[in-house]
This record gives sequence, structure tokens and C-alpha cells, in this order.
Amino acid sequence: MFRFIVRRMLWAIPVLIAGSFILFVALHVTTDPVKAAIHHNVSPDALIKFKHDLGLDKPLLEQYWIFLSKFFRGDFGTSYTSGAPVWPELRTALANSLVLGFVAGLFYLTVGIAIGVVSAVKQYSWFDNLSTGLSFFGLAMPPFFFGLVTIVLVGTFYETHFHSSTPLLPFIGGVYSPSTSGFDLVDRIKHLILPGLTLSVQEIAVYSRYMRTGMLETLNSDYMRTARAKGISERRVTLRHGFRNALIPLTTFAGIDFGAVAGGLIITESIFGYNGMGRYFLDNLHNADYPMLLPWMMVVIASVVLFNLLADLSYAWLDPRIRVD
Amino acid sequence: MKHSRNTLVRIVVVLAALALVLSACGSSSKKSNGGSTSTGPTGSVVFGAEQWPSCLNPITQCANSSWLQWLVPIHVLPRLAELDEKNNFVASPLLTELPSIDNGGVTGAGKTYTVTYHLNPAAKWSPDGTPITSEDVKFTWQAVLKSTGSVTTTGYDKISSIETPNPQTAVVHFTETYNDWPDVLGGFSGVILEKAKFPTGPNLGKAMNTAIDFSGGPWTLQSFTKDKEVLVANTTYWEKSRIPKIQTVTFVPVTETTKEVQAIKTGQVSAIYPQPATDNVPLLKDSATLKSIFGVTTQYENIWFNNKPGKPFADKNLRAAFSYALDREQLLTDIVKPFAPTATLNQCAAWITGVGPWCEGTAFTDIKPDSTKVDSFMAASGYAKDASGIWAKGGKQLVIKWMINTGNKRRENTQAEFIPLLAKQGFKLVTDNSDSDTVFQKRLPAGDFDLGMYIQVASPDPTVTSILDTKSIPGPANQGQGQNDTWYSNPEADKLMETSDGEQDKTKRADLIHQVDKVLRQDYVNIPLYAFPSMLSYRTDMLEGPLDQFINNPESNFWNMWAWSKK
Repeated sequence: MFRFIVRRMLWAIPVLIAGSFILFVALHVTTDPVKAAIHHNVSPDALIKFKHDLGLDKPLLEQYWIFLSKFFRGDFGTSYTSGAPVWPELRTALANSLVLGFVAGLFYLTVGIAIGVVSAVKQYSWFDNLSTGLSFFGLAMPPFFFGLVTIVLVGTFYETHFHSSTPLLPFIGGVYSPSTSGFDLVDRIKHLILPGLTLSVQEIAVYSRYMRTGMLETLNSDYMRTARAKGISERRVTLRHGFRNALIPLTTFAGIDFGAVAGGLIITESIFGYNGMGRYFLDNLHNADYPMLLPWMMVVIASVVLFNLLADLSYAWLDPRIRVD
Repeated sequence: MKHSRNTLVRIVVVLAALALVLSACGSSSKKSNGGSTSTGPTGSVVFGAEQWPSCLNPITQCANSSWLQWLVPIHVLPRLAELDEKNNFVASPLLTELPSIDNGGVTGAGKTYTVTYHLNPAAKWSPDGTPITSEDVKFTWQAVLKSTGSVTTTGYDKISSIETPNPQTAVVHFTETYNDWPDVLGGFSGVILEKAKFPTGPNLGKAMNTAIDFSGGPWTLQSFTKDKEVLVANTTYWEKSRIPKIQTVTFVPVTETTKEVQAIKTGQVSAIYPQPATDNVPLLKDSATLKSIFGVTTQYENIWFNNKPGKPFADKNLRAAFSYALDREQLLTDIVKPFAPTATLNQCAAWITGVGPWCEGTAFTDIKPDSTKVDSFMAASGYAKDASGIWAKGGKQLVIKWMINTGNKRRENTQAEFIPLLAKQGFKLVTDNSDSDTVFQKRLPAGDFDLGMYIQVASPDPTVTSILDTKSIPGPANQGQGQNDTWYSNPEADKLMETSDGEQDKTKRADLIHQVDKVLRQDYVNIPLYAFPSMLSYRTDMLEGPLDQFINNPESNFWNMWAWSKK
């Protein structure tokens, strides 16, 4: 197991380098920090000075090497736009996205899996039919639309129909209400509910469908019939044998899903002004701020590698027949 | 089974704990000091901001955003000249008076052009209480020129030196006559910085990212994060009439229209300054607790003809005929008034009535639909309608390419409504649209269009030499950087514009500008439409005071929030 983890971690290094280089080139091809920063009437001399100051007059490979060597020494650099160090802002955005991802993830995984299991066990029942219908509704619901609907519902709709002078839930201020100073757990949780729900609506639909399919496959397999023939109770057969095996394909999907969370939930974060990796990416892409974007890319690539590794490791836990080493 | 369940519970507990730890790490809020509890400013309010700057430095790229100006510098940093509610330059509280020829503050011409500022001896930096001096003025000029990524050096690069004979006098020497001197170290975006706060010198490229810990304005900046900005009343401000009545103002980003509307309607924010559009104006109608007021910005939208040789509108008769074919009133009613109910037609080529005395408001009043004039001007250029009713010459139909930036609903709706209407008058127009970058960065400078619809800014300084003078047509002489994208050229207009740029008497200058406007009208340089509207929506149950006093001002209506009170 240990050797497997070390091997995967070592493999992550060339993946990081290759991935970051591809994205580095893509960024340079598609964005231009000079154009983003400079006004129409700037003289050619000022442009040359600006490029020189930012090191943009160096060859592309040299620019990449400078970034990479600094990055692996822990020097994340400073923003082109603000001159501020990159790491504090990236750290805050990453932490906020992970919080939202984990909280929403726990919610949609729990609900999605539970619905999937019940739907499979009670196949073609009214619950199964209802959950199937709702899942299609959820899949068809764009997060940007659902997010705005939730804002209206907890805002003017709630105030009007429930005769309240305040919204049901806060939807401005990002991670805290404007009046909050310092850490406030209750306020923090309140600010996670709407973005968490917005993020969950499609995911619950997806995971419930995956889980239902997985459960139906395992429930109809030979070893399940064998287990029943041995006289094991239906509840134990379902949960111990069926549920556990049905989770395996779901684990791959969840690993990729959680890995992507570190890249930011661009739509959800933008709607709610949530200061996470998605908003970080959008803001800095608009400014073509390479020093801010490149470490973001490294974190995203690393998290995808990490969560895929965790998914692989979880196979062994779910099914002892799978040996990761 | 029990083992599995316990493991699952442990995982959930660990993840929840991790989420809480990360939650604490991710907190970017800062502790509030609670502000002053003494008599004077009281209460706190929250305002919404449609855009959120990524940093605070007022002289680097951070200052590219108007919202940065509206959120921080105008409240915190002093400036030399400032704009009043009618967009005239006046002395800020930092000056004893605005320099002028009459008071001897503006002297010379050409290389001897000099502006002398006398600083108010009472002006002091907060919180350290040191005087704001001419050394601060000189330092800020150097910072604008020497900071990495300085957003613009226009005007500052025309200063040859700044003398500081005493702490309250700054003598600014220009390399040439420069009538727009009030915009340097003042005006809309110019500021003065406290030299003592930057001991490493004037390269401020990496300074003032998320904090400005000094103030020479009515407010001090307590904190700025990605989620909010907190301004606290500066009770030591020397201009007592501008000491705020509200203790704390918090700005929060509300960058999405639905959210912005919900935020003001539910009282989460007390005021917003949205860009009026058809998707927010109907939702922000006056109610028992909400009031919306409209003004005009300094931006105006026109239809611009491309005069470049070889293009159809290089023909003055065609420009004239087209001007009399387009119904400006209908365009205003159908396209503009749904989001700007108080909008009126602009009657000047490159100025608006709300900004200074430069627009008389009469030059283009006769530009109204007139089919007789259309036919007459087209015939004068040899055009005749073909069998399909389209103007043609030499057997070839006249096809006009109308360029706008894609995604701009207002302009797309204009094309959709007016292309069929103009076709009835014999003009065959085709859409020729591109994305914003292509339109403004490539096609306009290259003169790659026949007809354009876009916005220009009417600066308080009335010069239009940079956009209409022959010397500003992009070419080798100006290294392709000229901004006369319509290739308009008339020696008479050039002479008047250049004379006006050198005229220091405001009345005489206004007269010259009016003459320029008349020449531009005779040349049918463009079709003026309207000044772009501004809008303020506020909660009448939360705020009171002169909230709309500066609604026509480029500083935004938030400029005078020192005079606002919390209800």
C-alpha cells in the first residue's frame, strides 16, 4: 500500500509539469495581460517598459521555467494586477471552496445515495417513480437558474408571503454577512446553505441515478442470491453485500468530482459572491494575471491527482479483493 | 457491519471537523474596532457594488475599474481639483482656491506653462495628524510616472518639474500648454498620496493591495477584502462640513442583477448604483420603501460614420441622407427609454449638456426624419433607387455594413428594429458584428467598418482633438496610436480644435467649442443619440439626505455620502 502511494505521488510530478505546461501555453495563446491592463492610448515605449517590468519580454520557455522553479521552491510570486503575494489569496479561496465542496458533498452524497438505494430496493414503486422523475428535473435544472430562484425564494418571496422583514437566509456578503466581524460559525453555516443547495441539486440527481443502477446490478447478481440462500436477512444482504459493492463504481465518479471542487465551483461561487477558487479563477482570468492563474492550475491538477488516488485507495477498503499494490 | 458503520461515522466526523477548520482558515474577515462611540457620526449602512476591484492601488492597473474610484479613492484620498455636481472643476478642500489666470495661479504658455497650487494649511493626514504638503504632491507625480504598471501617465508626462518653495505651495511646470491640468493629481481619478508612508520611494507597483492606512478624505478605510469594504467616518477631517453623519459604511459586491435587485428590495443593502438596463429598471420601480432616481453619466452613445477613403460614408451627401433617414426619437423611445425613462436626445456631436458649458444643445436639433432631404442628398451623389427600392449607383446596390459588439442587447435590438425601417427608405444595411475585443481593439483602430454604434466619454475638459483631429487618424506619424477611428478630417475643424486646446479663458473656449460643434454638424460627422443614464436606487426607510446630488457626476452618487444620514 505504502509503495503504491509513493509511486502514485511520484507519478504526479510529471503530470503536474505536463499539465501546467499545456495550460501555461494555452493561457499565453488566449490571454494577454498587457491588453488587459493597458489603456488604448499608451505609447509603444510604455508598453515595452510594462512588458519588461513583468518579465513578459522573455521567451515563453524561460517564463515557464522561472515560474516552475519558483513554484517548487515555495515562491508563488506576486500578482501582475495588484503586486500582492499570490499564496494568501489562493489559500483563502482554496479553503473556502473545500469547505463548500465538503459540506455540499456530504449532503448530496448522503441524499443521492439514500435515494438511489431505496429506489433500487423498491424498484417501480411510487417512490422509485417519483425519485426518477425528480432526478430528471434536477438534471435539467441549470445551477445558475436554480441559484437565482433560491435567492428570490428566500428574499422577496419569503418576505412577502411570510410577512417577514428579513430574508429567510442571507445571500450577500460571500462567506459572512456584512455586519459579521471575525469567525462566526452560525453565520458561516447560514452562508453555506444556498450555495450548497445550488451545488447539490444536479449532483443528487446524478448520484441517485448512479446508485440506483449500481444497486440493481448487485441485487440481481449471483452472490446476492447465494447470500439469501444462506438465510442471511434481506436487510443485511442489501446493506452489507449490495450497498458496499454498488459503491465501488460511484467512488471513481466521486473522486473525480471532489478533485474538480478544488478548481472552484465557478457558477455557484459567482452567483453567491462566494470567495472560492472559481471566483478566484474568473477574476484573474479577466485580468490575464498569469502569476495568480498558474498556481491555481497547479493546485487543481494536484487535487485531481490526489482525489483520484484516494478513490483508488477506497476501492481496497470497499472490496478487499482489490489490491492496490 | 458494525465495523463499517463505525468507520463511516468516523469519516463523516473527520470531514466535518476538517470543514470547520478550513472554514476558520478561509475566514478573511477582520476584527472590527467598533468605531467611535462619541457624539457625531452614528449607525452603519450597507451599500451594494456591481463590480469589485481586485486591489486598491489608485495609480496602477487596479484603477482601471471605475468601481475602484467609487469605492475607495474618492472617499479616502485627497486631490487638488475636484468636480462639483455640474461637473465643473472646483477647488477641493485641500486647496485654498482653484488656480486660474485671474488669481495668477495659471501663467505662461508653451514651455513656460505653470500652475501654482496653494494647499490648505489645515489639511492633515489621518491618523498621524501630519500636514499634507507640496512634497506629497511632488511625490505622487513621481509615483504615477515611476510605478510599475501605472495605469496612465497622460498629463503627468507633460510635467517637467514640480517646485516646492514651501510646504503649502506646489508650482507645477508643464512642457507645453496643458488646459486639462485639473485632471492631473485631481479631477476624477487623480489623488494625492502621503509620501511618509512609502519610505522605499515612488515605485508603488506593489503597494496598496488591500489596505490604504492613511486618509485625507471624509472616510478612513478600515478593511477591504474580496467580500466587503468597511469605511469609517474620519472625525478629524479638516473640512468640518464633510465629516460624515454615518459612522460606518460597508460596501458588498452584488455583481449579479437578480441578486442586486433582491438585496435592495429585502433591505440587505440600503443603496445601489446599478447600470440601468431593461432587466433591472422594471424591477426597481418606486414603492413604499424603494426609490429609483435617474441621471446621466458623462458617456454618450452615437452612431458614427466611417469617413475613411473608399468607405461609403466618406461621401458627405450619403452621411447627410442617412442622418435624415434615421428616426432618432423613435430610437430613443423604443430602445433607450425602457431602461432610461428620463433620457433625452443629445444635440451635440461630442459633448453633452450635463458636462460643462461645452454643449449648447442646438447644433443637431434639425436632424429629424425628412424623406425629401434623403432623396435630394442621395440624388446629389448620383444614387437612384433600383427596382427593389434600394439606393444604387452604376448598377450596384449600396450595401452598408453596420458594426456593433455582439452581446450588447441594446445595440442588437437597435439593429433589429432599424435595419428594416431604413430599408424602406432605400438603405440596405447588413449587420457586421464582432466581439468587443475585436470591435474596439482591432476593427475600430483599423477603420474596418462602415457604420458603428458605440459610446465615447465627454470629459469635463472639452478637447476632442484626440478623436476628431486629422493628426489623430491612425498612421505612421502617430505610430498607429491615433484615436480618430472615424477618419474625420476637416482643416477648419482642426484649426478650431487646436485653437480651443490652447485657449485658457473658459468663456472663449466654450465659444470655440460651439463653433467646432457647428462645423461637425455641417459635416454630418455622426448622429448623436443620448447621454448614457445613471441610476440610483435606495431604501427610503433606511437613508435620507442629498442622495442624488452627484448622480450626473463621474464620481458616482456615493461621492457625497458624507452628507447622507441613516434613518
